[in-house]
Amino acid sequence: MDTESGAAAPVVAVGIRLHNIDKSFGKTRVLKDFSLDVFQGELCCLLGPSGCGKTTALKIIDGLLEHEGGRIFLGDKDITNLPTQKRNLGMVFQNYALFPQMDVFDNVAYGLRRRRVPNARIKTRVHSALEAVRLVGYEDRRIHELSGGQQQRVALARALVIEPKALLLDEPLSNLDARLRTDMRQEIKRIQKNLGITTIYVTHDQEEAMSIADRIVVMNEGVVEQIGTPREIYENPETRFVADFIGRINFIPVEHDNKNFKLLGKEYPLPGELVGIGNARLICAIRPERVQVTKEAISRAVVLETFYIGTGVRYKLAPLDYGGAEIEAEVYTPMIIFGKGDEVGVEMKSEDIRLFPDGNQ
Amino acid sequence: MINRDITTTASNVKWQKYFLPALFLILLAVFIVYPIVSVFENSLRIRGELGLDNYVRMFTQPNFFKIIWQSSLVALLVAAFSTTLGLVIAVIVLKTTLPLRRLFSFATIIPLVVPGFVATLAYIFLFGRNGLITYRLLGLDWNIYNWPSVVIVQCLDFTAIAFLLISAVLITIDSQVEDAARNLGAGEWEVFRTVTLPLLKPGIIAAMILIFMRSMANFGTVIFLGGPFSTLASASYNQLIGAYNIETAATFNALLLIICLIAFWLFLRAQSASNRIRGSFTGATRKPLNFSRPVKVVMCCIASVFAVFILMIFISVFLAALTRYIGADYTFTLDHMMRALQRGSSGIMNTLYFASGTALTVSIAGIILAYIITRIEFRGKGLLDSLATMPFAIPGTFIGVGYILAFNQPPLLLTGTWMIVMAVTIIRQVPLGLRTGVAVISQQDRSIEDASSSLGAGKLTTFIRIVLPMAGPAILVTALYAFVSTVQTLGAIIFVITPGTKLLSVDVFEAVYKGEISTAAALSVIMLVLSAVGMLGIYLIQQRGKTAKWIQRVVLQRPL
Repeated sequence: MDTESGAAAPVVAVGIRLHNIDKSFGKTRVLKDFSLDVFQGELCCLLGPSGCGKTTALKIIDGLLEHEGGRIFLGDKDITNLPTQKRNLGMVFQNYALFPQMDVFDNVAYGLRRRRVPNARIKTRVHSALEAVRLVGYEDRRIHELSGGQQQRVALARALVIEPKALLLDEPLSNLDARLRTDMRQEIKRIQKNLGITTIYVTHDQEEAMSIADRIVVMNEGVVEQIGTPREIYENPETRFVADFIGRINFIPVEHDNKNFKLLGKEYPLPGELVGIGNARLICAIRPERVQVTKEAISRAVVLETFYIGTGVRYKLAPLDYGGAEIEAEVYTPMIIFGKGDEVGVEMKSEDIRLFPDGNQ
Repeated sequence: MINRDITTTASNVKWQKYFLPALFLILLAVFIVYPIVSVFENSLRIRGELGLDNYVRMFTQPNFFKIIWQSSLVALLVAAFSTTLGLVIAVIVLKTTLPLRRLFSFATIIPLVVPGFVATLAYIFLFGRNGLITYRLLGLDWNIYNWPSVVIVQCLDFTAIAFLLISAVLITIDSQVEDAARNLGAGEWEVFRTVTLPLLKPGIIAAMILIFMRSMANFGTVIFLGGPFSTLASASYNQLIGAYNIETAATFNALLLIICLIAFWLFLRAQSASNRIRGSFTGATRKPLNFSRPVKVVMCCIASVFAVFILMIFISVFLAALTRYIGADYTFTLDHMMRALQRGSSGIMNTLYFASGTALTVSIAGIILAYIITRIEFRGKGLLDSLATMPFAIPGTFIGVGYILAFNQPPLLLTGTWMIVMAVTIIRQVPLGLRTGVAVISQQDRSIEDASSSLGAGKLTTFIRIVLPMAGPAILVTALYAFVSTVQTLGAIIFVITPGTKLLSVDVFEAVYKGEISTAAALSVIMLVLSAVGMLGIYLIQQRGKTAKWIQRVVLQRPL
């Protein structure tokens, strides 16, 4: 299958562009002025809790749902008014949506037949598509005779064989068991990179998104919260929602005087953009693995509970000079494991702390 | 499918375990197997002598192959037309956003409360020699007493079956599969042709077979409209009622039964094939197919013609009952109704008694039988299941002949009593009770029952306190439908009634037979009201949700 390889300059072209998309179901607005650029050849994950509009966005791109406002571009072509049939996008549905009355070959060949591809060509193209998903030899199998993972591969082959302009995946792994999911994840990534095909991948599983995506789009209630590489999303969450949604995190309200803020009895300077914020309340967010637990540190806390989590230890701590709150800390390769009731020291580095305005979240 | 590894408690004494299954087996043997054996035995007798003469005679009769050929031709045509109509209407109702689709679905299921012989009556006064449309309106003078009329009226009657069966499959099709086809480049018509239609195939086949069986077993329409034309069922009716040649009737019926049983076996296979394809989908979403204009127009035309036809028939029954003389004098009058109420009073009361008795017995026996079959392990379980399902596939004329033959001598001398009528109406509805019961119980979470027994409840307590309450709405629907179905039943009843045990449906049948149009219409209206009351009950229960899906299953269990 062809890839855009001619360009020598590292300029990234846009593969799919969504511009101010609006969509409502009845009175609920599912997408609010939703805009997104997906680069040519990248694997972009739409990640968010259920009901955030990610699958809706995907179906709108594919033309399976109508939307109220905004435009959709494929490359530089406006496809807003093109029916699904003419968009030439490959889609993998959450439940695969394979044709149950057909065998594997006919499922994969379906799109080619609709395109009036001659029979001899169909044979070779189906074969190479099945080769790509490692399912050669399964041509005559009925769909209900296949395992979940195999059905998944058929769905992928069926979407890819038509040489689509882009690949859309709607929670493709959610029906598989955990082990298979990790294998298929790598498989999808491998195929996607081999073909260099622009891909949008919808998932609610952050671990999946982290491990597969070039860029992640975190969505919430129909709007984009943050777009970035997995690392940016995890380490530099831009909003409180992203910080909360991705991974585990502690939220601790802090006091500030417009120059410094105080956390567990220790003063830190406010980051530049927050200086002079007035009397707005701030909340600090810190990942459990960034909370350092030692014997000596100045801020004292009592261990409420200790969990052994294999890769390390997770503590639930109650800071001594901080009324009632609990914080979580994770220590990998611990020298000593503290037990319930032990008094420990807690330390946080200022570069590990994120501050957000304390709304009523 | 069902987890069977529950350990039976020690208190479960053997005789307790086998008592109920044995009781049911004996009852079914007496009321199903024995009549069947009697028919076959009689078909092998000629004036008391054992032999194959009846069959030899039947096969050598010049008319015989004509009858077979005619029966199958009509049945095949009806199956093909009804299924096509049912398919078109189901697609319109469930897969488009066309206006009038509620009207179409309403019109299609009207025949469920209007028995075929009433439709026949209406057909005669609309299109007959003196017909409202053919004579008064168009001034035609033609003969409607021929086989095309039989085909038309049976199509009106049986399209509801196809509609329900195909709808049942259609609503399980996941629209994502159609979306996948669209995504791969298929246009709307291609989506329908390559994805939707193939997925409907099992339902279509099942509908065709079931309608074929119904048409084969139907004799009323043929007698009234066929003229010189006859089928296996009508010929066996004439042999019995007209010529009183019970041995020939038995021979015809034996053949009819064999054909119906083969069809039934094919039907079961088609059903299980359909379940296999369906199995994988849960929570399917439905999305309309956006057909091109010409396709929509054609489909709408077909459905409209059909709906208008049915509504005309439905309305004309009321018209005939409530005006002085349909076709001549349209002054409103209640005379016919009053006369019908007087003349039919015993029929009405009998119908109420028998229908209620049947409804009660069948719904309770059905759920017990279903519980035994799905939850208790014993030898002969398969036998019990198939015996109780069998009446579904036995034509009415066969049951009639069988009961006459089986119960006309001691020790089981029932001929002429109300008991034989009751036995017929009950046995005809047993498959309905069993099937809905099995459907309900096998969908109930077995672990709830296990929880009950692990808390110390015996099987009986569990059944009464856990199974019955959960199955409640479905049992009620079963009872109501058994009631409606018994109100309309004619097939087998007509052979076993006596003047004292006459039912309303038989009154209607006789009035039609004698050509008393207005009286027949008035009696039909009373019958329709009784059915409608039952249907209204079903509808109200359905409104409470949950039970909606039982309706279709129940309705399809109507006896032949």
